[in-house]
Amino acid sequence: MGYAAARGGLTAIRNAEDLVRTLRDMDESEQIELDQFIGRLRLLVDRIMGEAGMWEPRLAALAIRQAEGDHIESVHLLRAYKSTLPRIASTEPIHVDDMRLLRRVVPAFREPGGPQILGRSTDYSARMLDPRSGSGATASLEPEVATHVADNSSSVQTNTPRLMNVLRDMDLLTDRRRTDDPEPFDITRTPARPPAPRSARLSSMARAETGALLNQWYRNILGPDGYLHEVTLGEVRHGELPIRIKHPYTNGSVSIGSLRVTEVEAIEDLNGVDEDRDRFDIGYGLCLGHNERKAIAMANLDIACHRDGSKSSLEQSILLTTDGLDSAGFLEHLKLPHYVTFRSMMERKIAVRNARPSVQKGDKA
Amino acid sequence: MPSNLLIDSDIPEIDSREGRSSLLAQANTDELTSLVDRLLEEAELSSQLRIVRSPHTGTVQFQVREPVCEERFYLADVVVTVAEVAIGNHLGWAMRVGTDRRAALAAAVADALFESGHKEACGSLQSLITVTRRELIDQRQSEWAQLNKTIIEFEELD
Repeated sequence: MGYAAARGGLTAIRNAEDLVRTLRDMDESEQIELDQFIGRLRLLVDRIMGEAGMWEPRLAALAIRQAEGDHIESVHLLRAYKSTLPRIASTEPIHVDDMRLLRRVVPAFREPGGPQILGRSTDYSARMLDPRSGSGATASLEPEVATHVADNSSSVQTNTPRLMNVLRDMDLLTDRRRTDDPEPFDITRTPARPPAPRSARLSSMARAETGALLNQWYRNILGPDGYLHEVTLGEVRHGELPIRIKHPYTNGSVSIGSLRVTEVEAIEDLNGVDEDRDRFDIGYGLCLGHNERKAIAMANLDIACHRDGSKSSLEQSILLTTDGLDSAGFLEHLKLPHYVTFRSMMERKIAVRNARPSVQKGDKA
Repeated sequence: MPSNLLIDSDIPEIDSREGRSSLLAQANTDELTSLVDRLLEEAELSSQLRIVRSPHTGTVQFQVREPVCEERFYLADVVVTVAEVAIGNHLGWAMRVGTDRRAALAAAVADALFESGHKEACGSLQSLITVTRRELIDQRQSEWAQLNKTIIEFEELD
């Protein structure tokens, strides 16, 4: 790899940028307001915040609008912006049990304890284009009451124990709980390289490009790698976590708001020779916003990495190849002038040819 | 009972400084800024107001504790704006999610006003955070009313 910097053409570059701005901003249609992105394209906004590793829906919406909907470019804009900001503090450690649920399904158990809440989902619906979607014509302000309503209380969400704890109570789960509470690895300060602590893998996957993570999972299930096998999902949750900060004067806890996350537990059937075969183990996925594909892939890859124990290249693939900005940046740099690089390659070809006296120019021997 | 079960879990109380700061962080921007502007003017406190740390935007690292190994990891950064002021000898601090510096400054002034014990200002601000708290609960109840209708009980086929 290598390319030489080029200079010149500044006016053309400025004009090209201006063309992007002008054609985008002077389009005959009405400008899309930021609230519209947040309210009507929430999954796109969520995905971009997750891959940027930054929670701020309005800035994410702004990035999408500026990038003309290019999601990697939007992530790039947000990461570039974030790099200009000082880091003021860390939140208190927020336990995921503090999540206020907006959705919960448990594919492994029909009656997991607590309700299964479909929430905002089209998982069980036929996919048909609807010309009226988004127009308000399809809105139902009074949805039909479900046949089986476990609890219609307006003040209590009802008991929602974690399936993991149900398995723990049945002594069916390998106990990997730690008591030493290691400091988390900060991938924004130090690049994570294998073998990395689990906190580095979880952070890396949480901000990985969704498609890249999905591909890692799929090529390990059906593709050539095969380092993991299909698991059963325990909890699939979407909900809100509080953002708690220590008050600088009192040291008490201040909740300055909340953010939404998707969380997944993947139950692994241990079957290795040196594994605890009469118990299960669990992989864990958590990412910003509502992005179930990403959290499911993450949970699968988390347990796969743990079982693999750095014997294969799986961890390396996750840490080094799933960041969307890294991969897209490398790919797109190929569009930049490579004149000197390519000229030197051509010169080498010609030199090789000239060094072979027996071969006439034009011969393919 | 785990804390995630109650609709009003993590809804701050109004009788502690931390609770008030939490509610000021989540109060409606326009209502907060216009109220603080009015209070400073009416109470003639503007001359006593000192900016200790001008409002500035930065990030806080959001760390979570996951349930499998009970390990912490950094999920992402949250964009926040923080400000610090003083009214006389009373310090006020605020942090709000987002980039609105005016709102962060207003929240810090409100915190200092609470600390100063200024009767009229405290009364008005108390009303604001009481309304904010009520709105947070109402929003969750209305959300739950919709979610409750999507509770499902699957049946196994023989």
